[in-house]
Amino acid sequence: MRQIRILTLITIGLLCACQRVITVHLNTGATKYVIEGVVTDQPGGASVSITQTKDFSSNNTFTGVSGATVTIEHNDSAYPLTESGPGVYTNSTLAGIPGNTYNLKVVLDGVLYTASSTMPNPVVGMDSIYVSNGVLTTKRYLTVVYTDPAGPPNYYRWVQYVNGRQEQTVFLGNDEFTDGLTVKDQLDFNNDTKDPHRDINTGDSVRIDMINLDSTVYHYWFALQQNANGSTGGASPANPTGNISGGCLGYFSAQGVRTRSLLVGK
Amino acid sequence: MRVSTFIIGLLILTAAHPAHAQSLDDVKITLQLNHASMKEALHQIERLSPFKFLASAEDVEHHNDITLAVKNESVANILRTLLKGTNLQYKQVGVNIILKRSTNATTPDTPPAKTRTPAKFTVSGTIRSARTGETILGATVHVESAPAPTAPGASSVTTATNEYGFYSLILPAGSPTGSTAGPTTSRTSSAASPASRKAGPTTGPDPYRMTITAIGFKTQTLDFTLTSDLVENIQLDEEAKDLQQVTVVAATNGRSLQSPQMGLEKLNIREANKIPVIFGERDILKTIQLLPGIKSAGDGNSGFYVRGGAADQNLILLDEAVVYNPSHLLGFFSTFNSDAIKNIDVYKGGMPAQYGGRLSSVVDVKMNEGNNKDYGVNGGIGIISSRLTVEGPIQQDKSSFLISGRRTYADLFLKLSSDSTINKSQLYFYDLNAKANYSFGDKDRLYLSGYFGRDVLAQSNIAGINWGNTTATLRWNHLFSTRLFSNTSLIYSNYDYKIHDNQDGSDFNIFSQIRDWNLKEDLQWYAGSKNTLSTGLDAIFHTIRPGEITAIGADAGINSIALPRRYSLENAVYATDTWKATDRLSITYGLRLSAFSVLGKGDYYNFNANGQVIDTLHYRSGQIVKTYVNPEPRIAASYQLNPTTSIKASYVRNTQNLHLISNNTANNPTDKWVANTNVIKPELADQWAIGYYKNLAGNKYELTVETYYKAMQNQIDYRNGANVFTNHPIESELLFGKGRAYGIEFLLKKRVGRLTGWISYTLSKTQLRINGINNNQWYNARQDRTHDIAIVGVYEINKKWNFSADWVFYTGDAVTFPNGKYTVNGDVYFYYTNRNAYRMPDYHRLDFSFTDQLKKTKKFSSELVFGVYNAYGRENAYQISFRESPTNPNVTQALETSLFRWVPSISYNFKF
Repeated sequence: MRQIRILTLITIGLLCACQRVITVHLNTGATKYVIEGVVTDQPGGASVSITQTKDFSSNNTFTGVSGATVTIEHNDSAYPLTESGPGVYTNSTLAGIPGNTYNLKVVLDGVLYTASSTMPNPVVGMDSIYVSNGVLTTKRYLTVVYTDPAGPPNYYRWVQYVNGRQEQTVFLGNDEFTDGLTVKDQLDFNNDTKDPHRDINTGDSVRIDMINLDSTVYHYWFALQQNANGSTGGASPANPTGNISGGCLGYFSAQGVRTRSLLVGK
Repeated sequence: MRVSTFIIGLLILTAAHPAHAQSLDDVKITLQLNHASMKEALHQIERLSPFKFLASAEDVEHHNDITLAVKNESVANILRTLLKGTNLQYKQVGVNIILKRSTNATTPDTPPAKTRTPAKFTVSGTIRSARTGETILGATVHVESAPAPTAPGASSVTTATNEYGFYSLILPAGSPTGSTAGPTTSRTSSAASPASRKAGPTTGPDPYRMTITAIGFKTQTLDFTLTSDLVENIQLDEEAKDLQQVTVVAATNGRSLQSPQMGLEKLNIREANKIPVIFGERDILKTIQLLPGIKSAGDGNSGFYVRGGAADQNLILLDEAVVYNPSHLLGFFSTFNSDAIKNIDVYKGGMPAQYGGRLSSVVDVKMNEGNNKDYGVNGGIGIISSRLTVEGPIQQDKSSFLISGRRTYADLFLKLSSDSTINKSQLYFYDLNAKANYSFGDKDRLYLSGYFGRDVLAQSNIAGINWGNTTATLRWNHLFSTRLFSNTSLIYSNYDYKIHDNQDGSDFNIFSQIRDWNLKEDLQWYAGSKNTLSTGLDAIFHTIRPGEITAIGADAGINSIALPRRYSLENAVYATDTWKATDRLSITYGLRLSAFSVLGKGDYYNFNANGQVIDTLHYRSGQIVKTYVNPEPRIAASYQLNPTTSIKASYVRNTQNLHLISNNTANNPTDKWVANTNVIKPELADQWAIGYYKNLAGNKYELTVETYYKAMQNQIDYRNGANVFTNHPIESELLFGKGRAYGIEFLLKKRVGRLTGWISYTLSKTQLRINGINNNQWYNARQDRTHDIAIVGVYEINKKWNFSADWVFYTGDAVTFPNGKYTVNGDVYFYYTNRNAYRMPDYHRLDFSFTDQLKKTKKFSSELVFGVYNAYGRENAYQISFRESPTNPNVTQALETSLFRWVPSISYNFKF
C-alpha cells in the first residue's frame, strides 16, 4: 500500500503541514534485555548479540551485555557461542542447513531464555538486481528480481549496503500474492536523515543480502517496521512479539542468506 | 359587521362575531347568476343576506361558470346547489359560513351525531414551507385547549412532525361556546406577536389553539374547533431577517421538554450554514462536532466520536441509506453537500427503536426535496470546490425535484506544475445528489433520492485509487387514515474502492466493496390522545467483497486472487409506544429484535489463542453459518417539573453487526468493513442516561445537562503488529474485549435575538480492556478526552453583515509514546510499555467568518463569506512521531506535525 502512503503525503503536503522538533517528557522505566540471535546457512553466520533498553533521552550507543552463557542446539548437538566482543557471542564453525530447526538457549543473571527457529528450505536467491529512478523523486533505487518457488509460503527480508554502509530501512516481502512468480521488488526507502551517503549514486557499490525467514521472524520484522516511528497514522504502537521466551525483547532466526552486488553506473 | 374575507394565501383573519344568527334555512333570497364564478356567487349572497363567507381562495377559484336563477329560496338550498359536484362543504358559525374541502367521509351537510361522552377526533396534516413547499420535519405542533365550558379543561399536547412533515394529534371533541353547528374552524394565523394574540376572538373562543414552531420559520397559531376529524395542512413563512421583530414564543423552539427523547441534537442546515468552517466548505459533520458529546477525530476532520464510541460506531444515514464512508479526501471533507441537505438529527443515546445497527450514535441526514412552487438555482464558489443546485416543481405545489452537484478543483493547480509526474496527477472528489417526489392524491407520495460521490487520487499511470459511495432510496408514504402513517422504503447502498498499481514491475488492480439491499417498513399509529405507536421491520442483505486482485497483462508479477465474498442477512423488527401517562409524565418503551445471519457460501474457521486456524468449516451457498439474535430494549421517560423544566432518563441497548477494521485513526479509504462471523460476535452497548432540561429567561436560553454511562461488549482491536493487507482470515489478526464510557455534558444555547449560539462542555472518560493488549488491563481509548469545550456565536451586525465565531478546546488524545529505545540489527527502535498512557498536547483553536449579504431581491440574492480557520495560529499537534535526528544519528527526537494555521477562505454563494 505504498502508493496510498505517497498520496497521503501529497495530500497532507497540500494541506500545508508543518513539522517541528519538540520535547516530550517520557517516563524512564526498568530496562529490558534485547537478544538478537541468528544462524545462517553460511559458516560463521551464527551470532547472538545481547544489549539493553535505554531511556529515550540517552544517546544511541548501545553497549553489549557480557557474561551470558549462549548455546545453539541442533538435534542432539550443542554449539556453544563464545563472547567475541562486548555482548557479541559467536561460533565460527556452525553453519545451518536449510529445513532444519535450531534452538537457542541463553542464561543471563540466572534467567533462562529459549527460542526455536526453522531455516526455510529452499533458500531463494536473486536472479538479478538493477538500479533505476524512483517515482516522484530524482533519487535512485535498487530493484531485486527473484523467482518465488510455488507452494509453501516464503518470507523474505533484504538488507541493502551502499559502499558497505547498511541502510536502516527494513525491506520485507512475502509470496502471498506472488506465489510461484518472478517478482520485481523495488527497495524504496525514505532518506529522512538527509545524509547523502544513504542515497544510491553513480559509482557506488551496492550489496544486497536476501534473507529467507520463517513465518514468526517475518512477523517480528513486520511489526518492528510498523512501529518504527511511533504512532504514525494513529495506530497504537507496540513492541513486536518475538519468539524468545523468558521475558526479553528480540528474536532468534535460522535464516538462509544469498547475496548480490553491483557497481552503480550512470 | 366586517366585510367578507377571502383568505388568500395565509392572511391574518379573526373569527367574526356570532351575534344571534339566523338559520340558513330561514333566510330566503332571490338570486340570478350568469356564468359567474364561485367567488362572485358568494359575494352576491353576502350582499343579499346577513351571512359572511370564509374560504380559502384556492378552494373556490376552480369553480367558475355558474348559472343559476332562484326566487325566494333558502340560502341553505342555494348553497347545496352551488356546492353540488364540488368537494366543498359548508358550516355555519353564527353569521359566518365556512367553506372547506371535505376531509373525510362525513357528508357535508349532516353534522356527526352528537354523543354524550366527548368523542375524540384527529387533527392531522402536513407542515410545509410557504416559499418552497418543502415539508418541515421536526416542527413542533402544540395544541392548547382554552378553558371553555365545552373543552376538557385547560390542558395541552405537543407533538412533532415526523420525517415527512406529517403530524397527527388526537383530541377530545370541542366546539365553541354556544355553538351547535357542525365542524367548524376559524383561523388565527399570525407571526405570534403578543399583540395579535390579544386580538383574538372576543366571544365564543375556539376551544383549541394550535401553535406551530419550526426553526427558521415564523411561528403560526391557528384556532380551531373539533367535532370531526380535521386536516390542517399548514404552510409556514420563512423567518424574516428583520431584526426588530424577533419574538419569543412560549412553545419550545428547539428541544422538547415533554418528549422522552434524550441525547438528541438537531441541527438545521440554516443554523449550520452560519458557523465558520475550514476552507469555507460548509460541512454538517464538522459542525456537529461543536455539540457536547460529539468529538472531532482530528484537526479539520469530518470523522467524529460520540460518547466514547469509535468512528465506525456511528450509523450515518442519508435518506435512510447507510453511508459506509462518509468522508472525502482522507477525512477532511464529508460526503454531505450542504446545499442538498435539509437537516440532520444526531442521536447520542436513547435511540428510537426504528434505528439499529451501530453502538454509539445515529446521524440521520435528510436531503432537500426541492421547491414545488418555483424553479430555483443556487450555488457557490469557494477555494476548494464549487456547488450548483437546481430545483423546481414537477406538479405545481405538489411535487418537486432537486439536483445538486459539487466538485473540487485542487487538481487544476497540479496541472500548473512543470513536473510531469505532478501535472499528470489527479486529486479531486465530487458529489451528486438528486431527489424527486411525486404525489398521487392526498394519501400517497413517492420519493426517489440518490447520492453518488467519488474521490480520485492518481499519479499519472503509476498508481491510483478511487473510492466512493452510491446510495439510492425509493420511498412510498401512504396514509391509511389520519391516524395511521406508513412508509415503505427500498434502499440500495454501496461503497467500493479500486486501486491501480503499476510500480515495481507489477501491474494490477485491487477492488473491494460492501453493498446492501434493504427493505424497510415503518408504521406510525397515532392510537389515541395518550399513545403513539411505531412498529416496523427492516431487512438488509449485505454482500462484502473484501478484496480482489486482478493482474494486468501476462507479465503482471502478481497473481490474480479474490478473497471469498461474504454474505449476510440483517433483520430486525421493532415496536415502540410513546405513552403520555399524565400531563407531566411521558414514557417511551419499545423493543427492537435484531437477528443477524452469517450466510454461506464460504469457509469459516476456528482459531486457537494465538490466532492460528485450528479448524476449517465449509458452507454451501445460502447455508446459515450462524445467527445472532439480540433483543434491544429501548426505554425513556420524561417528567416535567414545571413549564420550563423537565428531567428525563433512558436506557438503550444497541447491537452492531458490521465492524470497521482500521489500524488508523485517520480515515483511510481502504479500511475494511467485516461482518460477524462464527468468531466475530456482535458488539453490544448498554447505555443509561439521565438529563435535566431548563428553559431560562423567558425561553431565550436552553440549558441541557445529560450524564451517561455506557458499557460495551465484544469490542475489537488489532493484534500488535497485525498485517491488514493479507489473504488470511481477518479473525487471526483481531483481539476482543470490552469498553466503558461515562461522562456529563452541558449545553447552554441561545436561539433567539441578534446574538445566537451556544456553549458546550463535556467531561468524560472512555476506556477499553482487550484481551492481549496492555496486559489485559483497562486503558484509555485513543478518543478519551477529559475536557471538551465549544463556544459558538453568530451575531447579526445589521441586515448586510453577519459575524460568526467559534472557539474549541479539548484534551489531547490518549496515545502511546515510547518509554525507551533499543537496538536491533544496528538500528534504533522504540520500546513501549503501557497502551495510551500519554497525551497529545491540548487542542484549541478560534475560527471566525463574516458574511456580506451583497444583493437581495426577490429574484436574486448573493453573499460573500470571508473566514479564517485557526485565527490565532495555534500549532495543534496532528501527530507526534519519534525518530533518529537527521543531523546527529546518536540522538533520538520527537517530531510534531501540525496541519492548519491561519487558513483563510472566501466563498461566494448565490440563489435565483
